[in-house]
Amino acid sequence: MYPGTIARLIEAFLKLPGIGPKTAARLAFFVLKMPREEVAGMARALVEARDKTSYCKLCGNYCEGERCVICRDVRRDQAVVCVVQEARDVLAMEKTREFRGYYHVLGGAISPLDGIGPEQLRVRELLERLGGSQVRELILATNPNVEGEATAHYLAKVIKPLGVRVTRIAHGLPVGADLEYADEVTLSRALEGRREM
Amino acid sequence: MLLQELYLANFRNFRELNISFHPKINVLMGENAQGKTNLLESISYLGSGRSFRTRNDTETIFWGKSVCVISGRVLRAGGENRLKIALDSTERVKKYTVDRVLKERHDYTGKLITVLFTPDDLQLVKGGPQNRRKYLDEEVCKVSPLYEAELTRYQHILRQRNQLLRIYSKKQSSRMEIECWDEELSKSAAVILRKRVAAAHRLNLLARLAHRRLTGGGENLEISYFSTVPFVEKNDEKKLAEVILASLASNFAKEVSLGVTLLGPHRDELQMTLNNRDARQYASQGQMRTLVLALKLAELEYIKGETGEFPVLLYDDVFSELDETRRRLLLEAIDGRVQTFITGTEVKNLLDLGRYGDVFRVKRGEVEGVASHGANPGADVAATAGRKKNKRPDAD
Repeated sequence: MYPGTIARLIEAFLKLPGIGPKTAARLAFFVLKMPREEVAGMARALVEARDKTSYCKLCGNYCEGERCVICRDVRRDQAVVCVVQEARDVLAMEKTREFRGYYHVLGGAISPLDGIGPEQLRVRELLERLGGSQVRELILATNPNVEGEATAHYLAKVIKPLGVRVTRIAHGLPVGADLEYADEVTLSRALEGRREM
Repeated sequence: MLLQELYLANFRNFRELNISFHPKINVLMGENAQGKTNLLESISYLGSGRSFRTRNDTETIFWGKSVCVISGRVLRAGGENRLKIALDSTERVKKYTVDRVLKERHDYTGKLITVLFTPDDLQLVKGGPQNRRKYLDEEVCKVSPLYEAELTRYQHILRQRNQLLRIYSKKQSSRMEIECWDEELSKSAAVILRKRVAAAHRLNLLARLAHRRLTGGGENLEISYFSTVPFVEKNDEKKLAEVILASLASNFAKEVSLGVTLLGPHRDELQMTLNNRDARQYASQGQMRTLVLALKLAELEYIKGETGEFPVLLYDDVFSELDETRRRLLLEAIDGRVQTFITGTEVKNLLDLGRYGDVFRVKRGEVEGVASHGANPGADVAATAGRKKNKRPDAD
């Protein structure tokens, strides 16, 4: 249908998540109309990002070099570590600007059916990191689904004996939402996690 | 609740269909393989968003087509609603709308509740415990849509946990890994158990009553929920979850050796006894039929009790199997209060039923009104036949 080069470009876009055939074609034709240097810059950015980013040796977040920007920041609170499933969850937490501790990225959640157990995640690294450190509290911020909960339960069981305080982020009603529109499950969880006023 | 109008496009063997129904009885007559059950299926589908015959939605689409629509006008105590389900097999989407507003599935269901009665229902008594668990779960789902989400969640946790139990003997998982699923499993199990026990209790009372009427007080039916969980206080979800958690711990060695979770709602049984004897083993064919009929009548009352309205009764091909007395008792039970759809091939009995409502003939995916009586204002035979050709009620 299209000349070979365009067809190849469309196919390349199709590999991206959330991109279907129509969007891929639209993007491809847009690229054809872009100035040459912009296209070259984009191609370079793609390759550079792929080449230069690696995982932080300490927390597992994306970084350039040995340590990520967060782990290099000495002004942060060394007593608190927040455990998340994916590196992109670090970004979400950082947006709050509320958390001033360090992170630990697991790289997924426990899911026996997918063959993912604690050994497939960065659990050993976490234990090594906690041993003999100044960490007093570990916040578990895995997803509030079945696998995320199981992972949190597992980590709590392993880490509590080390004398570190283990907490789980609260789940419940989204801020700004109406009570009447919340579903039963969310509401009952919110009720469970109620607090004194 | 009443289904006033039904519109089908490319559903099973119906290319396009538009009919109005009688508020009491609708008889669907026809030879085998003409589309009678398809019509009942579409009504049940419209209410529940799911087919009772298949899990594969694309099967319900007219051969060679990719899109199908089921829509209907439903009258409830709260007012009138236009329900619509559109299925697209190429885009792999199913859209639920109520009055042209797009809804999530759990927000959609519950607007039209149906009770289905088919010859297969004998399996409720005869078949394995999973049939009776499914029956109970379906009843709870009808009146509380989020129960279905909890069931799915429970099954999901169970599969993950069982996988670990299976590989434990090969030293590929640890007790700690297994235990980290227990807490969520027990919480979910507690939610399910509490709802099931409450529903079983209600259904027992209602089915006993119906059964006594059907047998003239000669037999005593008892439905009881037997749980693998040794619980005492079934109303307190928190306590229940604690009991389940403790029982999981004490059963660990056994579960590991068998590689499955032995305890929980997925192993429970809804036992039915007639005069204190297990109906599954001792009841005769005739007794089983009466028992199923009692269960169905109990379902109608249960839903009425929980939602304030009677559901729509879908009666597939079983009317002919009932004797004169049971037929009369069934008619008395639904007596103008429950909108009923009855299919069958036998002309005489069905035409008699037509005295209470409308009779339709289903032939090769076409439906034609042949007789109309009673409460439907201005609905004589000609009008019934003419209504079929109305324009589409829902052109979007």
